[in-house]
Amino acid sequence: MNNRLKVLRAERNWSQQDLAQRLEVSRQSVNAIETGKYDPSLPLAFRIARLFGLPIEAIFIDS
Amino acid sequence: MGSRSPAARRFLRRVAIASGAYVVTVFFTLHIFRRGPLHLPEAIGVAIVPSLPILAVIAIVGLYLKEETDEFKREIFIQSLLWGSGLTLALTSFWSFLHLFAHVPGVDGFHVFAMFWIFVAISAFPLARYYGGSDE
Amino acid sequence: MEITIFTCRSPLSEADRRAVIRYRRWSAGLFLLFLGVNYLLEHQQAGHAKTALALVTGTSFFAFCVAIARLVMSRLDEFQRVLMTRSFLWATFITMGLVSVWSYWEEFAGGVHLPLLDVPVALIVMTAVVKVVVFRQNSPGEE
Repeated sequence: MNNRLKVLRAERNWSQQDLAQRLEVSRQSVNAIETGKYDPSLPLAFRIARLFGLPIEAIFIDS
Repeated sequence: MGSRSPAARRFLRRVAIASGAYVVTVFFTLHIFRRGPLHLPEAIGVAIVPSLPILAVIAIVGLYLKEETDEFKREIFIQSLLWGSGLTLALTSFWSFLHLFAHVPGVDGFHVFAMFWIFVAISAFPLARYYGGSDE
Repeated sequence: MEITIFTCRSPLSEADRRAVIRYRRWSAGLFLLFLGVNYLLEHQQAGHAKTALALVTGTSFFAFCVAIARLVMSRLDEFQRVLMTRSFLWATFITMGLVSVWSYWEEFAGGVHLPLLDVPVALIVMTAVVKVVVFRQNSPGEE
């Protein structure tokens, strides 16, 4: 699934490692979500949305 | 599998064909070896023929996981495969130590694959119960 | 006891840290039990006691595998668990395929006998090998 994770991350000047630590996941997972290789579970998607202060639909694009 | 998806129907059809092929290849191999001794390379080649449908079943499982569009059904199937693996690991562990030290009769390697699928089939029932009944 | 060949999620929560310690203790304890009972078995005369010890050995071996699996899974996040599950399934099918081919070779062409204990051991080793390949394929690379 396409998403704006990389853009949102760059706006805050966070590396993938920074985002991974904030979400309590591995950098591998962050990279897989950003590149669309892996769709996060609902709890993780909600954690991502809460972290960025945005609704899920603003981060993940249902094409 | 409850109400079967097209992918599930294709999976069952392919497995049925592979199972039929397995029976045919086993009889073929037995027939060839009963006719008389073979040179080593031919013997190995003929001996491996019955394992080809087994390898085909592995490919069929991969195809099903790729073709099934219902992610929940895919998840349930993966869970039954995991339970099948785990139970096979358990039984082969127990049985091998019993065979080694308590002289219980051994099990041939080609029975392990059959054992795995029996456990996969058995684990489907508690999984179906755990996740609730079929479609309403 | 386990070899860390992957990066786990960080930081681990307090509950996860306790779970890791718990599984480490279980896996170490079960491994020692396995070794101990195995040693006793070598020196035991045939009979019901030997059968019981063989069952305990098999149980401790399997329980050790489960403890290691739970230790590994407790250190992984959801995506890494998907990769680990995928690795285990690949390893299962590769092992089953190899065991089937080998057993037909043994049965019909006089091949070398494959001891049954090699099957679970091969599955564990194959899981470790496939896991390295799968995790490497999904490695994030440089930032």
